[in-house]
Amino acid sequence: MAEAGPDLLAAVATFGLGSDLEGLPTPPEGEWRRTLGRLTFQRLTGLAVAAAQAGALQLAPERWVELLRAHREAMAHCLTLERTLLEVTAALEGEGVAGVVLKGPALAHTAYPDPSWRPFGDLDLLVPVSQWETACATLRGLGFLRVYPEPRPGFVVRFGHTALHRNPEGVELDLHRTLIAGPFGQWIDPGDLFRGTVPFTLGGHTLRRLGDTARFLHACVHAALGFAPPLLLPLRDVAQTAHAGSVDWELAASLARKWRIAAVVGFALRAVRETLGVPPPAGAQALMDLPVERRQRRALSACVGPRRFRGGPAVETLRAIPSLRLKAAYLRALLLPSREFLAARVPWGRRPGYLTRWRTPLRWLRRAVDRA
Amino acid sequence: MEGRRLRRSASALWRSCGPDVLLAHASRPELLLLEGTAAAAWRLLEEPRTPAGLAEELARAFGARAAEIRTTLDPFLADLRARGLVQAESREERSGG
Repeated sequence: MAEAGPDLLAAVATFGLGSDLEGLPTPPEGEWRRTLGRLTFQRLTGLAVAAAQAGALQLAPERWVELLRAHREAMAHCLTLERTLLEVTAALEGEGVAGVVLKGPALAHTAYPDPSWRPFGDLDLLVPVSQWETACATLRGLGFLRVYPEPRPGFVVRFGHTALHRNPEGVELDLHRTLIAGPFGQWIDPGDLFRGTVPFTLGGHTLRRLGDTARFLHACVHAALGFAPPLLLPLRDVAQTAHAGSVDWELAASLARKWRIAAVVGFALRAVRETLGVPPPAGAQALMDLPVERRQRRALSACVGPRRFRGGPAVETLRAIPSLRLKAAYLRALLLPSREFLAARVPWGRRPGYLTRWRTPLRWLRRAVDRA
Repeated sequence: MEGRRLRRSASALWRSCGPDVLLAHASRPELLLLEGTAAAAWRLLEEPRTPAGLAEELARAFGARAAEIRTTLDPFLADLRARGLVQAESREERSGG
């Protein structure tokens, strides 16, 4: 009997990509609770239900009922999110803010053959930097509150990538300035993201999403850098957007060079091949062969390796920030954030304070002194 | 009204949940869970249909008589119309305009 783990989940994550004719591994006896928990955590219930309906995943009747229940909960949340999205985009439009829907609803409705295959847990909306304050004020008017204060006023607009908002219903909305945090967020030009957006329809309203090429690149960035190790649904998004969309591979290579994300794209495509067993489309080979600068490799390693949780992304972000004045502002915000920020971000069980905040850089300093 | 075709409203948000359908209106918080013939009827409304045509299709699929199906289908469709989730095709839509 197969191990209830990555093999089964990865097989579910590839359902519908053409490789499932032989059927998927059967969830092992005694492991169902854990398997269902992992399917839910990885947001794979939609693909599992589709695989079971197609006869590729064999489930006992009581397990089928439990899977359906978990999937129904996920879908109910998606519908609540979509209703909120329509309310938010209409309000933003009323204020003249041109929002672009990222990830969840945009992928579910335009990249997948059935939106129920692609659950999502929150909303992601990209807005132009010039309209950031108006967008935040509009969200406040709709009852959304900012979940975390900024380290310093204006930090997100200059260095960050999102501001998490939550409304009284518990709906979470990430307002994006760019696609990703860290050094790659400094290199991606947000202006490029608004060129080539395309419309899609939801609930009778026309919304905008990234074009197929930028959408594929975003899927790669999110899969590679969003979680370490990469989660299965973001990897499926990469395969889905690469194979199902009409990606302009020359444009993709050009943007990957400009945004310095060739290493990230290569990492994501390799992870899709190794984890899901799905090879990149022929057109993507040129992307994987792009020359990668040393600083890109170093930045990627800081974001996906052990340095990820030891300040690596912050150091690489500092390196990526273009001017000395901005580097100083970034350092000041990280080392001397506001008291509100400290109180909101303090690890559980610790008291908010600058010494806790400085623990990691002080360790670096001590190590440097020891080496010297 | 009997002969007019019904179609899904553009304001309907919905998802397949295996054989069932979860349905909501874009501007209202209630969620409806459609099962059995109700879910099948919703799926058939992908194409505009008259209630009679819909009942015929469902009768074939479920091995029942169309008249029997109508006794539950008609109130169901009336409820969906009241909730703004289905609507009668306009004259322009019928003529393909």
